Amino acid sequence: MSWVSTFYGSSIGKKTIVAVTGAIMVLFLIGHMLGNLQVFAGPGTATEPAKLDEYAELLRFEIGILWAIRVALITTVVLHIITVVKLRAENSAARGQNYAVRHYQRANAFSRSMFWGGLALFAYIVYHILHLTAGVAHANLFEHGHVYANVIRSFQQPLIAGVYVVATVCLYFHLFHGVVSLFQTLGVSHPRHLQAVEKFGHALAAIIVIGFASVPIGVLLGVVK
Amino acid sequence: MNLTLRVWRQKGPQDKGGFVDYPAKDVSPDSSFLEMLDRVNEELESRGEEPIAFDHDCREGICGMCSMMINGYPHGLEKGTTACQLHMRHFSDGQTITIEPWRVKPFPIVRDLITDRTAFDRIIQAGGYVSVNTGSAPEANMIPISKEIADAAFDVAACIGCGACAASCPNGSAMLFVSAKVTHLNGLPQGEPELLERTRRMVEQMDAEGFGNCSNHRECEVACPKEIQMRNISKMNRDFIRSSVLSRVFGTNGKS
Repeated sequence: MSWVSTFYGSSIGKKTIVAVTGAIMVLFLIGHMLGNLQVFAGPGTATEPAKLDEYAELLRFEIGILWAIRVALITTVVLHIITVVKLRAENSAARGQNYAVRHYQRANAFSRSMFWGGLALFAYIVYHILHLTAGVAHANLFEHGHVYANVIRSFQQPLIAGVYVVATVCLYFHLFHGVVSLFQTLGVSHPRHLQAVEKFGHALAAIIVIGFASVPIGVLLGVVK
Repeated sequence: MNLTLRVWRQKGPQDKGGFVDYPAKDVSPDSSFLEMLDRVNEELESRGEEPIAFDHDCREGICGMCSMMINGYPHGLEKGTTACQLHMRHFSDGQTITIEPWRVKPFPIVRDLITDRTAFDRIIQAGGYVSVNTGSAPEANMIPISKEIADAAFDVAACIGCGACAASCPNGSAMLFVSAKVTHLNGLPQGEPELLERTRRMVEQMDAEGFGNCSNHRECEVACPKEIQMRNISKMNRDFIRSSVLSRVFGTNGKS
């Protein structure tokens, strides 16, 4: 298995790990976003619980499997971040003194915000888990097992909803460059498809981000109560 | 036209270096950038001052020596040209032009605008060749190569190893250069047998030289005087994954 450490030690090996872990997170995000949309099914009735609460219950049908998935996801996130930190350290070491005059022609807000935008997203994820999973960030607004009520109560606070919306904007920037880059890194990109891949990146990022942002915005606007 | 040059002067690798301003008077718009520098240097010499040291050789855009950052663009703003092919008509009278050497750690500055780019030579030595048996020259038509493959190989063979890709990269990555050299040989029947070894060894050497990692800013693609595309980096990534993962896991030679 020495090839694993050799591969991880190489530039392209590390880039591949970032791309693969990124792809796993994108798949998770799509599922997470679709699950969230069930908030729009409403609070349920006296006899029937909210669709969102039923869904949350479904995810817990086997606590062992739930924890296995959680551990896998945490490993993915940690591997993604550690690898990026290593790559960034190598990049800084490779750069000489800064140019006195330098005009970038292609590097843009998307490609240049990956590192700090990514760290901001990580901070947000920690907050998000403390808020709506562990229930400790805003303990007064949280009741275990009542997902729908927790979501509504939290997002009726403009500050909390604002943090979530800002996070989705960060997510858009990170996802667009990430999705387009992962095709390039995994060796499946071609200039003939670049425009299509970029459109796909924007579309996928937009769908995921609109899906996520619709919940806090929907609650703030009183669409769901 | 009259210009002001703000040039990076550095006596040697250990010297701190700094910018010095020089006037360039009566510059012909038809002269090339290097001819303009030649005239400034003549004047410096006539005054007994040290001329500005810059690399140059062919002055027709094929040797890759005239590496310099001109007003924040590698080889200047014009697309698909080297500094020697850049003409003064692209500048305007009274302009200040900042000229700097490539700034990438693996290209140490030798003097003024001259950098040591032997890191690229060592990457070529690691795998940028095809092994052939010695003897009389083979018949030229022995190995048929289709036009598409020949054209694709020639597109990347156009790389002159000037280093603009690494110099333009916000990450100091040389992946455009290495990918051009790797895909040039990997795509041809003569180079295909050594594809796995070549890709792995050239990438390992690139890493050992201390170049950074591509994060798809795409700056190299516009900076390249030979307009080499980033698709080659994608192809190199594919070949590298084939070489260091697929061939190890499946125990094959990595051929699909």
